[in-house]
Amino acid sequence: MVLKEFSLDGKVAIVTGASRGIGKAIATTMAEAGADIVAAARTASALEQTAKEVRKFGRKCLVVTADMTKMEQVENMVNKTIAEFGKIDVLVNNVGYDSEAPLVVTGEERSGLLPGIKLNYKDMTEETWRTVIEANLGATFRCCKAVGPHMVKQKSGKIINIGSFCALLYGPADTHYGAAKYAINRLTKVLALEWAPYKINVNCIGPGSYVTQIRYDSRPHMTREQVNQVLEKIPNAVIPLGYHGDTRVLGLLAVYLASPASDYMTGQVIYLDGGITAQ
Amino acid sequence: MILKEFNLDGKVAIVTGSSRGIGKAIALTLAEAGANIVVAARTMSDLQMTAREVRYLGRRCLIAHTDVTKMEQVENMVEKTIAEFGKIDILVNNAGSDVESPLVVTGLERSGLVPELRMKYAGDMTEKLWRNIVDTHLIGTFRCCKAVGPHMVKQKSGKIINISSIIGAFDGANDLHYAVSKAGINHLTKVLALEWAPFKVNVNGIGPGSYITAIRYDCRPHLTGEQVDELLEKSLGLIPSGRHGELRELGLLAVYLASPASDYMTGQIIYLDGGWVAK
Amino acid sequence: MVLKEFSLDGKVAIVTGASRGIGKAIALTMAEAGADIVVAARTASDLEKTAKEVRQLGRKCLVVPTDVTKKEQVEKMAEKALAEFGKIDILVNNAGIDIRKPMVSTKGTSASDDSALSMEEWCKVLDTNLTAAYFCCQAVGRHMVKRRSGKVITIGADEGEHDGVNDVAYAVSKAALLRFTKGLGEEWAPYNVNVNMLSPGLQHTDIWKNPELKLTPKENESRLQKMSTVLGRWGELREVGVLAVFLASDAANYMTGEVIRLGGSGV
Repeated sequence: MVLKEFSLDGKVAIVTGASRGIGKAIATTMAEAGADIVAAARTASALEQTAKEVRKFGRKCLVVTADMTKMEQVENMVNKTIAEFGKIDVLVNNVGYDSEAPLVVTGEERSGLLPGIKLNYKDMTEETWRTVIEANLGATFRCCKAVGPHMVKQKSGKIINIGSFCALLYGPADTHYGAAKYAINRLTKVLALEWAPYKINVNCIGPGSYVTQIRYDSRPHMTREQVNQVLEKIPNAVIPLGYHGDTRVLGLLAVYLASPASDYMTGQVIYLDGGITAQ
Repeated sequence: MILKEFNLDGKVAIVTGSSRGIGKAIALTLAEAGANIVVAARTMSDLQMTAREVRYLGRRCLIAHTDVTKMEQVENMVEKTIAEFGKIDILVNNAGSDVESPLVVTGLERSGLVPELRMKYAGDMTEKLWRNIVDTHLIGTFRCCKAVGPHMVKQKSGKIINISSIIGAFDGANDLHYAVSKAGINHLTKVLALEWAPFKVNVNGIGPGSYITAIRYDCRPHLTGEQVDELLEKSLGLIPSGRHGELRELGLLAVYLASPASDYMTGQIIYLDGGWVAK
Repeated sequence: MVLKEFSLDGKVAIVTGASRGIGKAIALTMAEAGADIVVAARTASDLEKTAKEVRQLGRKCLVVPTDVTKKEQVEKMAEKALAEFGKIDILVNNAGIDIRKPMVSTKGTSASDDSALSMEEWCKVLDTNLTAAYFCCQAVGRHMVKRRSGKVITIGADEGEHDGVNDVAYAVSKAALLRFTKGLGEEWAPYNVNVNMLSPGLQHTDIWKNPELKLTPKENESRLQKMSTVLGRWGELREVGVLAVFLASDAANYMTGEVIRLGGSGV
């Protein structure tokens, strides 16, 4: 018997970065739970695959191309959503990006999991710094700013930010990514407090280790084979439950957070990470 | 559409302190989601009421008359469960009480909820009161985990949900024993999550915020019932969501944590508090 | 009897935002403890006042007008400090601003009304409070990491960890800075460069002026009086200076990636 409060029937959810990985899993799981979806990302082609899977559940899917680091494009996405659906019940801020870089490369950097190899890091550049801060924190901020007024007017809404276990655990060469993800935790709480009077819930999911594209894109200093080796070692070395997560479980938690079942939850950061942050 | 992973069909759950309040609500919601329940507490008459309501939902209910401060009674509760159901899938450690008391009475104590209200405590916290509260909450949770753990480890599956409190995370003035017990439960949750991760036993905690239950009155023998009513009414101003929680909401979160949907979550304390701990 | 580990004799410290408030207090207290100081902020005239007081304490003071939100200016500041003193022992990332506005307008739900935080204001606060720290730490860190010695201090705030309602840009920027501090502490631990955050609690500084709130001086004073810490008082700037001296001194050699809070914050 599955309790009715976990249903998303009749809801409209915007999911950013929905073309693959975590965003796609959240979009499709929410659709399975009954929501119509606005799937947003920078390129339309990959989004179409997500849209196809959403529609297989009998739900509507509006595809919107938008660069979340550009406010006009974010506002455009919101306007299109209102034009199509008349409301926004759920916003999932999932867009993110990472590219490891130490502040000062010394040449002595070593991988904890692959101790033998030399890492070809480059110094953190202003561009890398800004891109990582903007794509994670800036994008989340812009989407909240554009969607917020609508939810305030509705006196209802659920915002789910996607953080990371990296907010709490220091990884190599990630002062920018860690700072951005930790800042998203704080943004979550401040907005939860500012918008509580309007019955808007703002919470954050902190994923642990999932095998998605970002795990490769974030390591320009490693070959693909080296990243695969690292990913192979992570479960035993780092994850108490001993395995990478399946992105569906993030979808299920997102459904809980988007549903009436979690109406009394706000300002929370929940790590779904097989126990990594319990260490 | 409700996703199947939120289903508890076929599961067996022990809920301590399920004679009333939070424990009862959790027992009933788990039952509604499909689980058979073992209700445990000290007062037989109240337990029988809870059992009746569980059976009314079409589920089986075993009554275990248990004082969690007595190891033999806890072990007995576990034995009866195994004898009746052959397994334990879920353990909810909820038993506990409270009596506010400053460590050293100064006469200047004020209510944490209504700062203008001067509190007239009877006397310093006695060692007896300290031991009593720590024994029920922290050591009671320890005893139950110790008795149930071996079965879950052998099964290579299990879900333990410890009931903490926002007082485990912040404040706690004039409630040192309770605060420390709950903070202890938070850390116990993480340590056991790490110890039992290799056996796929998930250990998580729920931190309730403000709910109207008997403990809110029982913990304030220095105030009349009307004074507590007034205090609880005034405290709404401190809660970002502007309301107390509904017990069922705790039940729904417990269902999530007890269900396969949360298999990848361990070592987490999730606060369901209308945003209080986010402040 | 003062223990020798608390001395900053022979040390060189860069302090950003040193024209007044916390930055000035830290610069002066570190000078009193024996350090020569490099003071950086946007206006030379204000910096000269701080410099004068540093010199009165018998220490040298280099004034470098710098906009810390501009990478090239920060790199020049580090170069000038090295040219003058030959080394940098301590970096205090104190420059910071606060624009206290809610995310969404309180007047209605129009996103374009000026009572709500604008994108420009968001960017300005993040740039000054977070990105500037990255610029300063990288420019000075190159030298410290090579030398295998250094002490970096960032300045935090209660809002970085609690509350922050109607102050989202400041709160989020200070939170990001906290995690940046911890991450950098971890990154530079192998090179004996300590990175810690000092969270000063409530201090009487210009950051509380908040012109965007459009209050009269009397109304603003009343607003501030209603605030209090666990300890029931605002802090003294010297208390911040003394803690900064501790963190910059040999006494704190085993401390890195930490956040030390004044004012009973977090209790």
